[in-house]
Amino acid sequence: MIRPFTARSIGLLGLIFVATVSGSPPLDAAADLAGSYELVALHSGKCLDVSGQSTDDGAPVVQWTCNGGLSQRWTLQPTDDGNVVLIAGHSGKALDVRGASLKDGAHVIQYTINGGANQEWLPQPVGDGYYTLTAHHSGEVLDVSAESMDDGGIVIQWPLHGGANQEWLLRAVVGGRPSSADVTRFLEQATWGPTPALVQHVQDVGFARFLDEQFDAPASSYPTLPLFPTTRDQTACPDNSTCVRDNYTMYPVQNRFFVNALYGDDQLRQRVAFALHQIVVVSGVDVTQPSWMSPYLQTLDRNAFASYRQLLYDITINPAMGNYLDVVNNTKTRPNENYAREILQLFSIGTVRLNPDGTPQLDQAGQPIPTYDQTTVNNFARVFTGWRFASGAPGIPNYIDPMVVNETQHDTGSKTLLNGVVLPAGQNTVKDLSDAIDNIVNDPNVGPFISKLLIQHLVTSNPTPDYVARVASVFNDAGGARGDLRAVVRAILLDPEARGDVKDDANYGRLRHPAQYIANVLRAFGAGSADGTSTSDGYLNPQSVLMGMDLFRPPSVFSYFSPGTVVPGTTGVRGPEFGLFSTSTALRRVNFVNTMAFSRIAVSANSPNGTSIDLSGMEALAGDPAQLVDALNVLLMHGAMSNDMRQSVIAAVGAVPAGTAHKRAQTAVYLVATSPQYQVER
Amino acid sequence: MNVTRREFLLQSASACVGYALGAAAFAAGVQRFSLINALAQGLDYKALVCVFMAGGNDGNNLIVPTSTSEYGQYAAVRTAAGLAIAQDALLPIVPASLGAPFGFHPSLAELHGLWTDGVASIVCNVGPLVVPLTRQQYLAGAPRPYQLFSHSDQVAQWQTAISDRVGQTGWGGRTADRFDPHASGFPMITALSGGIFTRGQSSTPLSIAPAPTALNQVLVLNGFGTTADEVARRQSMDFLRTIDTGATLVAATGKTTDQALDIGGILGSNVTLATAFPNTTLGNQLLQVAKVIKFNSVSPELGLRRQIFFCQLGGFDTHQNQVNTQSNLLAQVSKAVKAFHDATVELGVERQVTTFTLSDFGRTLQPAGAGGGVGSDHAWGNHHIVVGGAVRGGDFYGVPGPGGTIFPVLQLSGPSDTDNRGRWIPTVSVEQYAATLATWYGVAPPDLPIVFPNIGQFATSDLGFML
Repeated sequence: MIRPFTARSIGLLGLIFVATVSGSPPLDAAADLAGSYELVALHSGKCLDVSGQSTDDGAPVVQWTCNGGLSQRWTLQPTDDGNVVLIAGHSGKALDVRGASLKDGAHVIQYTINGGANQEWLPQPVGDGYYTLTAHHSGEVLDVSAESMDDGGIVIQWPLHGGANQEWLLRAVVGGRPSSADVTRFLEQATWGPTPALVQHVQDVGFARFLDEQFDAPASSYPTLPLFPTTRDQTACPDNSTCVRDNYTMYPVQNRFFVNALYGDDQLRQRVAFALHQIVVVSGVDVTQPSWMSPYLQTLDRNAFASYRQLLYDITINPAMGNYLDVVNNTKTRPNENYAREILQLFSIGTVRLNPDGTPQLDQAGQPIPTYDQTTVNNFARVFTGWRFASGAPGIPNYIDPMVVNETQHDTGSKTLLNGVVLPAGQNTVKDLSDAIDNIVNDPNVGPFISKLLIQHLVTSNPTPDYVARVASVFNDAGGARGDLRAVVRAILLDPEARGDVKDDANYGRLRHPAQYIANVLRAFGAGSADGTSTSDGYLNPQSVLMGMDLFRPPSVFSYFSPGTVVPGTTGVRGPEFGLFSTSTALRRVNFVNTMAFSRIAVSANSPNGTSIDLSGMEALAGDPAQLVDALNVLLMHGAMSNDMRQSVIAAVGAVPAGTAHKRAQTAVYLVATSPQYQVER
Repeated sequence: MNVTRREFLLQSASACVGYALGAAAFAAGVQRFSLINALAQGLDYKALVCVFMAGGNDGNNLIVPTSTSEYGQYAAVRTAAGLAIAQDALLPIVPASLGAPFGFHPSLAELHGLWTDGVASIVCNVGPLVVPLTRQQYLAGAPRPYQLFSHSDQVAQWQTAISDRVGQTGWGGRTADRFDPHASGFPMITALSGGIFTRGQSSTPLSIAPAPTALNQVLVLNGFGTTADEVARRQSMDFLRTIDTGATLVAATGKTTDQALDIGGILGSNVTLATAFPNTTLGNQLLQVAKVIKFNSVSPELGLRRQIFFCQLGGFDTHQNQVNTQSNLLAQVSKAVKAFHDATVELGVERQVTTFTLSDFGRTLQPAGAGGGVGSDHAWGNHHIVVGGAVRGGDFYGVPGPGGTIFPVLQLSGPSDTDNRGRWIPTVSVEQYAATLATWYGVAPPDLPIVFPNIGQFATSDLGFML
């Protein structure tokens, strides 16, 4: 808010102190500081607070243990002369020196905003994000009286003396009420698609609280399914039967994926687990029963917010992975290299040494530096010996329980792993595995390698090195823990490069992959059964296949698309999801929207409910094309629709006769949802 | 509305440097090519057709030596387990330069006919190599391709022709890159199946569905009739792809969609062929290839002089049940390739179209398991088929190895073996095989190292099987 300058007498003492404080020019500092903050006193670590959360004029301002409450959330509003007014979040009243007193020790209170110089404070940085705050009328600074360490310690003004009880950390509060645009973008990154209700909820509780809810939400996950004989009984389960469909194809888990995506509360967990599936890959192409895939998917769900070390360990002894990359029955006489190579190349450190910001290190000759060689692979191959399936029925291997040890097949020789670590001879299967997983996870490459992949899966295909570095440093150490995926995901989603109402950078964003595109469109419009009376059955994989993504059946351990895929027509701009984007899949994507907007996925032998979307909300606005298009702008494009696009879609909607509101709604939804502007999550 | 106003201003600034999409580019390309086409259509046309046998075809049963001692070596390893093909079941051939008798797998009757007609040959013991390699060198630790015997890695190496690191582009794509592959609105490469083979630096493939989808149905936009509101909707849809192109990924999405719609528009008619094709996976892909070739030849406004096609048939990973499985698959390959060759004859381009196979790897001479379910495991060097009127037919091609000939010594732990299971160390590298094809296609010798970065490691870049 711009205030007219009001002349006040300033004590001589105050002038001297203002003149001698160093730091950046106050005018710029104040403008940069606009926003909401906790003010944390350096000496005590406690927060500036209004006593008792009172909303009365004159209520004392104190220090109190930081608790995230609104009375500890101060909005800094710059004035036009370099000062700020601090407004309490619970009351809307200003930080004020009582009576505009000039006395040392005058109490600081809250008071209705009145433009007085005793409500204006000059923030001056003293380093590390700390500031002194000088009252404009008196030149004295915000101070915790007697350097109290207690909750309730009184806050006063006092002459500047450089003490820690006069220095305040301005800790930005992420939240307040975030904008609908930023929340929409956040939900595109953190869920399978924003819905109007979810946007409202996140605006109400803020990002941090929503993340906590999501971390705690129980996993929808996948049911444990009955195992069937590896060699199919052609009588009990003949070709082309539902028995085959339900027990020898991915059909049940593919449907479950979409049901979870459309209706599950644990959206973030699902989103992260699917990202992990694309990193630590097992494919139904080889692991052919859904009962074999399900425990692997459960492992990803269970570990989505756990430690990366735990994830790698659990995945290594998962039987589906044991089958897929040949750990199961890996013998010491002929150790198989497959898992050893892929766990390094794809699941942890990659093939070249990375800087903490994810850029490759280069040697003297300007060449990338390999992270491991064949010898390393051989040694890890020897580590991963001595595992077999847990006991099961004859002809029906146990894909449900983790693999178990077969010590006689374990290579107990000494093994040299990464970074000079040597496993001594004589260790058993489990000890070798545990040490090896630790060795891998402790490699400095893991932080930037995995962080960058997760950023690409959630937010943007071309993160700046600084973004990668910020997230990698959280991977490396989040409150003492290494590889804490909860902290990493939080860091990814709350980073300034993820947040904001709109992004201008040319290379920002990522193409929605087929499963995401399907889920996004369906969630935006309240997908239900074909006749709208119940829920979708999730039979949507055929649509995803047409767009190039056969769920849980990626062509290889190199996943559905390579992270290195270059956006066509560019030199070096990454677009992993473009690996599935061809002339034919481009039209299939558009035709999918045509099906949902103008028709439905009908009930069929494989689809007991079918799927349709609900355009009634849009129909209600169809009388005014501009209103309809603006609603879609908010819902699908977080308000970032260009004026040209807006005018074009309005015109096309207007060309539909006014009496057919449904067709108008369909037209508008079709145009926005098929647009390149929407297909790229930005 | 502040946001949209800002977007509007950004677009106005970038509109001047925006790019022409779709129809405009196509028209320009067409003008450029129609002249060339008038002069050269039918005369300077060449097409490469790749058939990828996914899973790793067992080359040891594709061609089998039938001279007594060599067949004896083969039988010694394979007969007991039930994996050997009986000598009198093999379809006899005598490669001209070897002067020794061999036999095709009994399922390859049609290929045998093409051999006899002089339009089919075999390239022996091809595989990824970083440097030429003997068994001694291999065992001593000489450089070799990364992750041998791994499906995904070997598929990548065969399709990229890069074995010392992970290649990002396919050699089909890099070949196309040498020819300005998008000068016309119709891409040089048409993919009937996915694969990195088709991806170049600038070249991107047109991917279409196989037969029985009609050619004018492969890239169809649904949901637009001729009512006034549908026309208006289509106009808006097309307009939206021309704006907001300051965002790189948005622009690329619009551009590929444009290309799809343009080509869908170009593929306005379904051409027909007199030649009958088998209704199989590969048959339907090759039928579509033949149709695209015909479509190009009858569409003066298209007039592509060079085309590359990629097809794929899966199921070759015969760890078990190889006898029946491979028999059926090779029969499918044989019949489909024969039909395709006949179609090129029908179109008058049989000397201008060359079909060749690739695969993940060969398979172990030593069987895996025994009896009815016998199979073989992942190996390395493999034998491949080349077919076409420009092929020097009726012969085997390769590089002499330890046995003194281009054919591996069929001995476990023998001089051709990687280990003790009969995994042949290739004597021909993938890039030598591919460069021979690319040279015929028209890649100039100075450009070969660009397409095949490692070709300099090998003595020859032309194995001589093309006329």
